Amino acid sequence: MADQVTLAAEPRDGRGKGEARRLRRTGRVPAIAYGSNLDATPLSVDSLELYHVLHTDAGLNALIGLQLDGDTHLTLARELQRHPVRREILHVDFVVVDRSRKVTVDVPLNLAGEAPGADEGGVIDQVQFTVSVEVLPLDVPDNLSLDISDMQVGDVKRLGDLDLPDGVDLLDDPDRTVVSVYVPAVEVPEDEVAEDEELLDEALDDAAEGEAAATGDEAAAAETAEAE
Amino acid sequence: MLAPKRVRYRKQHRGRMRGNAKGGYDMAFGEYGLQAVTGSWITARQIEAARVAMTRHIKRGGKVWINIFPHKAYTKKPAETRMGSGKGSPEGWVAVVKPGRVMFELSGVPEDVAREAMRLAAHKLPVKCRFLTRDGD
Repeated sequence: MADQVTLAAEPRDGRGKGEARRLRRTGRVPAIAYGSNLDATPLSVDSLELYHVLHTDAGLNALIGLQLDGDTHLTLARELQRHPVRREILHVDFVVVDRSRKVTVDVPLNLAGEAPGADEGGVIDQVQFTVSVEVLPLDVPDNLSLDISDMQVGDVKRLGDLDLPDGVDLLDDPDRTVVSVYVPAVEVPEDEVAEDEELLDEALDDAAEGEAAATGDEAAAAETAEAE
Repeated sequence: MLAPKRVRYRKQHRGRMRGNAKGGYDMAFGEYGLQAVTGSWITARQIEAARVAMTRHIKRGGKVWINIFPHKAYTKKPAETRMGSGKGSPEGWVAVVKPGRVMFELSGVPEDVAREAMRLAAHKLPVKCRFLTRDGD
């Protein structure tokens, strides 16, 4: 279950990208808090503290006690905006939650055990990595695990097969596939791989010749059209 | 090789390639990913070469996703041609890849195999790449 972690926040005066960039240069992350009994309040948090808060066992579903103006609000981090390359957090929403009202969260889904089908040459294919559930804020599980120790080749496990803790309601379709064990394509011996390589080279050459011929035809066609 | 089935116009402007990827910078399907750290045009031939390198290393055991598609036609003038006389003929197809774009995804193989497969694939591409895992953030 999620432990509560505290995070200090400061109100943010300025608005827009200029102010946001100034804050990021000083090691802070622009954020906003809103939710039950709190109007939208622009604020900023320390980026390093935020990193540690979001890297506990609870992950992105950590229950955060946001300290703002002397009050502590129970919040969940939502709508994380990240830099596409550097992966650092650019902006975060803190949604104030009520202890007695259920919230919707995406909980990570892990596989537990060793599938016997994998020893027989099958490949374990996990399709779903998170599951959307409705649960009280204080009861949010860190992760859900699905036992695959009885899976043979060709078996499929679905969301309905999950053992959910009490008070956790599944929101996704129970028929949605989570994991399957399938037979991979036949392994190709090394000599055949070499043959494949030759075939690929030939195919690439043929394609290059074909393209050259096609472009030549197009050029000739264009010339005749121009002449006309 | 990947190519559009049908296009409305055969020749396109080259365009600018400023900024980072606006989408496709998170892994959507697999357990491992190959992310571009720099930007470039990636030809259909390079995509195919990377795919072949990857699938050959994983011995066709895992599952590969290609998240980029060469939508853009590029042209070339014939060799030893004087400048002018209009735009050259279509030569091939490229995908415009900006920094951050997750180009390939992989699942169904151990991490060390995936890492090596992605390394081999990255050597076929004209961009600097980074290996991603699901729990890497």
